[in-house]
Amino acid sequence: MMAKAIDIGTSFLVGAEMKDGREVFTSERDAFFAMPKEDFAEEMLGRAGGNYLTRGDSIFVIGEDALKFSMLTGNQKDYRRPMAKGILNPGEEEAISMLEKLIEGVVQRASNPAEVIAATVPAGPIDSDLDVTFHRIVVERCLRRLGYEPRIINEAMGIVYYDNPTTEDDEGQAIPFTGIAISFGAGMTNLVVSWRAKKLFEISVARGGDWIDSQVAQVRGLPTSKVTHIKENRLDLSAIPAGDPIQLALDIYYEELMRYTLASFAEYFQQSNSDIDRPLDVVIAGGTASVPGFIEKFRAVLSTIELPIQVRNVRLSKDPLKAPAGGALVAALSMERRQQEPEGASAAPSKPLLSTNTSPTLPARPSAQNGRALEAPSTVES
Amino acid sequence: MWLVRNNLRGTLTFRGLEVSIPAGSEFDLDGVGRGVAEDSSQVQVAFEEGYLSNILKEATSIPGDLDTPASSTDLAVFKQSILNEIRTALPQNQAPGGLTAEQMRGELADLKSALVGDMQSLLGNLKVAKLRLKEERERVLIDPSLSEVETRARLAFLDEQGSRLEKNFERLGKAQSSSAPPGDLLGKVDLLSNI
Ligand SMILES: Nc1ncnc2c1ncn2[C@@H]1O[C@H](COP(=O)(O)OP(=O)(O)OP(=O)(O)O)[C@@H](O)[C@H]1O
Ligand SMILES: [Mg+2]
Repeated sequence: MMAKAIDIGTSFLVGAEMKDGREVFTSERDAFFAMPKEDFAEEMLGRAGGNYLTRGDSIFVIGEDALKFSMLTGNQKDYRRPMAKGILNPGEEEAISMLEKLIEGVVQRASNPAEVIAATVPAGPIDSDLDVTFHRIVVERCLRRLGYEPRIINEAMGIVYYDNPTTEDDEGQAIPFTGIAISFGAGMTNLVVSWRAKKLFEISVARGGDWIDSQVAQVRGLPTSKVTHIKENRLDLSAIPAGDPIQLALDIYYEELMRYTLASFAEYFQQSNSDIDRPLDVVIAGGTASVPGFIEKFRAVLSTIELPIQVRNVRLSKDPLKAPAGGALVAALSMERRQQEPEGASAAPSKPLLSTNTSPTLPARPSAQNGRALEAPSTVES
Repeated sequence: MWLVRNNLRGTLTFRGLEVSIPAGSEFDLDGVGRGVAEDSSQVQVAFEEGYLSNILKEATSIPGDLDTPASSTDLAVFKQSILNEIRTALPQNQAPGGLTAEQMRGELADLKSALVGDMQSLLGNLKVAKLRLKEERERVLIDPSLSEVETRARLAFLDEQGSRLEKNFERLGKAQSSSAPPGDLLGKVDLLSNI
């Protein structure tokens, strides 16, 4: 089996593949640091082995090294990110070229012709007119150039495939890959409702960890990087020190992000006239959800919001940072397997994805139930 | 006094603190204030990454002690810490026996540069290699024994070699095996494939 996967996030790229029967993840910061060539020698001397590339008169330090470099030199202006709010950063002229190099560095070239790779993209956000389609085309083109056969999946569906939330049918049998998954990332928060591995509903909001950082930085008059550092290293949402204004502000914006996400979900799901009468599990992943105390706080916020779907259980993914990539790998391997099946086998009768005998009340028009229209046909989960 | 050392082979500059520490040198961070230095995320990262190491950190900083010469105990502690570092970093068979501290220090530097690769020599090589490519290019262009096709093929080859020099990485990212039991993920693949 050769298929691979990559979760392309605003702050991290995570590759996934099987090696010797184990899943192996490769993560890299989705960032670069640009500087003129002449500044390079002096400053870089100590940073032996740094990852960089050169073009014209500029040097681009790539990935994690870029962050270290910017922190060490105190130069934040030249620390840049190819993506913002979940997709290619429209204000960054090097966005495409840098994202392509980063993707290539993480997944390498395909190891056999038309190797399947599943890549994640967000759903179109309800609260911004960012163009997810363009982002998606750039990603597909890049992966094709590296020799892959790309398949695009929603990153929250990755969580569904990785953590396999289930619910029960009338006979008490578990229905796999069924539940609500939410990815709290850096640039965005993505939510899907999945029924038997099929995406019934998706929504995203252009708020995530970056939004929390910049809001807190603004109200407290601090550099954003400082807020991020405190958030990632000190914050515990179940133990906010009463006298700490920064952590108090972080707590407030965390809560606001949860409320906003759930309220948007409630509103858009209702508008879609969908109906699911089984209680579902909620699985949560993403870096922003990795902070201690997140799930407890989420449960508390959830209890104050009326959702159109009953919730059974709320839990954190078994690996919040890697779940989207791991689930994309599950999808890629499964698609590869289907591709390799002989013609006759695929014609064998298989259970319909959504049959009314085995599932509870289902949406009348499942494919049109989203905050935004579902994706084009190469989507895995459709 | 909070004495730190720059372990890099290049100058460390903390713009926010207006501090520059030359390669291999020590610096008293209490000079900018203990609180300021401890709170600086630049300093924190430099420690986390091993660019800076502590040589001596006194319990509290006494303002104004900047100009007082280091006491002899400070120096003893300092020397000892360097010796310890050299001893732990050197391969066993080259340990103390007969080497002067100076030799040890040299060995240590060699060892370090062998381990992490030396950016300066890399840059030097890059320049030399590019120069050779350029010379070779000129030679190919005027070589009368080459046919037009051959010339073009060779130039294309040289260009390809040249563009390889532009990138200093093959792989990116930190690889990490999953802690999940083997077969866990493949079980999901089976389940998904059978839906
Ligand atoms: N331990 C932690 N505590 C709190 N926040 C964290 C922690 N680790 C990472 N984060 C935050 O999580 C975010 C990154 O999460 P993640 O890697 O899931 O995002 P992404 O996939 O790159 O972004 P997106 O999916 O929005 O495009 C950043 O905002 C980061 O500050
Ligand atoms: Mg993400």
